[in-house]
Order: sequence, then C-alpha cells, then structure tokens
Amino acid sequence: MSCCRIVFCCESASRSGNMSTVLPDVAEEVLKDIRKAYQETSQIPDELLLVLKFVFGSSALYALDLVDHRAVTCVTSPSGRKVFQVVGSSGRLYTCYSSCHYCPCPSFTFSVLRRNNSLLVLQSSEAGLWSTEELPGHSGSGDCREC
Amino acid sequence: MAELLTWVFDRYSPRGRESSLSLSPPEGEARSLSCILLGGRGCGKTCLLFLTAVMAASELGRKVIFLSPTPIQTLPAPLMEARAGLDPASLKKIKFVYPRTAEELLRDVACLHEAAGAPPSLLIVDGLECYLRWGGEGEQAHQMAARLSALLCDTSTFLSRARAGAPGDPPAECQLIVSLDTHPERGAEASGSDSVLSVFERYFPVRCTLGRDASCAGTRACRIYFSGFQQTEGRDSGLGRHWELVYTPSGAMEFTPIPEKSQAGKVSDPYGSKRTLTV
Repeated sequence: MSCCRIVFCCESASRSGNMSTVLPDVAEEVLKDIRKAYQETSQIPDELLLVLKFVFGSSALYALDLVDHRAVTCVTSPSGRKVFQVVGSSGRLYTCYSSCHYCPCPSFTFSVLRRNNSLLVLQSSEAGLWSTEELPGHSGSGDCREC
Repeated sequence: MAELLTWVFDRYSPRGRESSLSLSPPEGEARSLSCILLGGRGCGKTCLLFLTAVMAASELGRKVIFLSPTPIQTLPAPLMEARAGLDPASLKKIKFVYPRTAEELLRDVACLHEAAGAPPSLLIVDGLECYLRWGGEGEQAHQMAARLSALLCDTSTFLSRARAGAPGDPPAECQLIVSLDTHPERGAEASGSDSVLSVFERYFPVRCTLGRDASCAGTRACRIYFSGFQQTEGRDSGLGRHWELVYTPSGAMEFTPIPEKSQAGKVSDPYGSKRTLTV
C-alpha cells in the first residue's frame, strides 16, 4: 500500500465522517504489507517505513526503537496461544495481546482510550507487527522509551 | 455476532421455529465475534443471556462457558414453560463459572485456552459492571474495562482458531457476548462513565440495547435493537432490526419483530446521549 493510497483512503474517510472505522483497517493493511515484505526479504523497505510513520505518527519510531533494543518478547504457551511482553523504559513489563489493540501502559489509557487521538501505542503496534518466528530480538531485553 | 441473539429472539416470536440460523460467513468476509448487551438494571439481560446459552447448547450443540458474578438461581421464564422438553444432556454443555472479582475473572478467562477437551464455541459474561473498579477514579475503570475486554476478545479469537483446526463440529468460531448494566438516571453525576462505555464499544463493535418502550405504557416491555459497525453485506446480522420484548403476566417473554416502518420515533433510548454505567 502506497502513501498516496493511504492519503486517499484517509481523505475519503474524513469527508464521509467515517475515519474511526477506516483508519484501523488501513493500519492493519500496512502491518500486513510490512510482514509480507519482511518474510520475503528479511528487510523492511524505506517506503513502508514511511507509511508506518504516516499512519502511526511518532509511535512508529518508538516501536521500531523497541525492536532495536530487543525489548519485545513473544511468549507462547503449550496450547499455542501467544502474547507479547514489552519492557518499558521504567523496566516494567507490559503484556500485549496478539489479536486486539491493547496495552496496559498508562499512555495507552490516556492517548488511545481517553483522548482517542492515537490508533495504538508503540507496544501494541509493535506486537501487531511481528509474529513469533519473525520477531527480531526474540528474547532480548533492554531499556527503552516508555510510551 | 448479532445473528445468535436474533435467532433466539425469532425463536420466541410469532415466527417461532421457522427461524433458522446461518453462522458461516461468506468466503473472505470478516465479521465481529463479539457483542455487548446494554440495558438498565432489572431489564432482563441475565435472562436473555441464559436463554441464549441454553438455546445454543440444546439446539445448536454448542459448548458454552457462562461467567457471572452471582449464581443463576432460576431458569428463564420461557424455559420454565418448556423445561419438560429440554434435554438435560444438552444443558451439560454449559459450564457455569462464578468469579467474584475482576482478578478472578481475568484468571478464569486467561486459563480457558489451557482447558482439556474441545474449546467452547460461546463465551458469555454477565454483569461486567460488577468487575469494574473505579471508586471515583476514572482511570482505573478505563484500564479495567480495556483489560477485561481485550482479554475476552483475544481469548475468543484464539479459541476460534483452535476450533478451526479441530475436525467437524461447525461452526468453528467461538463467539462472545457480554452484558453491561446501564443506569440512565445518574446522568450528570457520572458523566465519566460515558467514556467507559466508549472503551467497551472499542472492543465490542456490535451493541444490543434493551431500552424502555415508550409505546407500551403500563406493561413491562422493552425495545431491543442492534447498533454498531459490522461488515454485513448480503447477510442478516440483525443490525437495524427492532424487537419488542413483552413480559406476560405468567412471566414468560415474548419477542415480536417490529416492522421497519414502525421503528422510527417510538424508541425511548435512555442510553443515547446520556449513557451511564451503574457500578
């Protein structure tokens, strides 16, 4: 999905007053495109990174920073269920679910639930980006900026 | 998700047993697996949920997990009348769990994926408001509402995937219905609770609301209607349909579909602009 296509989607949604229902779909498509590109080439093209930044804003940069610092861990139970654990800048461990947008951090409550001005915060967007097998820094940890 | 509830309503309407249920989505179509039932205290939400559980278990053969803060004391009135026809074996498909606190509810739901045997295909949580902890602090209520909703939705999604891998026993999806008490009288003093409802609506895109029916003064009646966002192209999801629920003197419930022409202007929606939660 190109930037132009996303801009067109967002402008159309804005005109029709349907932004709240379209943007999450756009975000899902972006994440799918990135996952596909990473599976095929083990790299994320700059174009898709720009799209990521366009959709998620500054949260995208913090999310990628988490990956660089190996702060995201995928935990899999014997049943096959997966959750993502993210180490925040304070050292606290946040658990994010793989199938819905949620993070127990204060920023998610403030920016997403209360102000509703962000699709998701960095931990949950990060969790949506990678599957277990693809997660760079699989069991790493590090100090990172808390959302 | 509204299909299961609309099927139950139709079964107890004059259309009766003509109604059928199709829960298999068309190829490539996504739809929500979750629905939230909203209504004031004493409007019959628990009864509706129990009725749905019994119908799903007895007539659809579904394995149901019913979570509630308090034990269910009696059968719903429609089932009291028809209990002779109920198969006790089918009722064994319903497992009742009574978590007393939010922590117990979180633990019980978080453990469902580890349970032995076939995964359940219907999760019902009654009285979510009982598990909210806010005590005047809105942030805690928002956090708990989001945490409970997210865990329930994620669990439902995982169980659906687990069922998809199991042979037979369609439909594969694990559906989720929760109920939330609303209290229209508290209005201004609890304005923060509107945003708590918006948190639930983030995770439960389909709402089934039980509102007082202004056209039925003097009788115990409710208007039931669905709202929200769902991809429903070409399918009868129940969105936009209205039912009238009347409690007869014997206690039985009767659901009557309301024609589309008669729907406008009759609904007294106490939860439209000043929706509040009772906790």
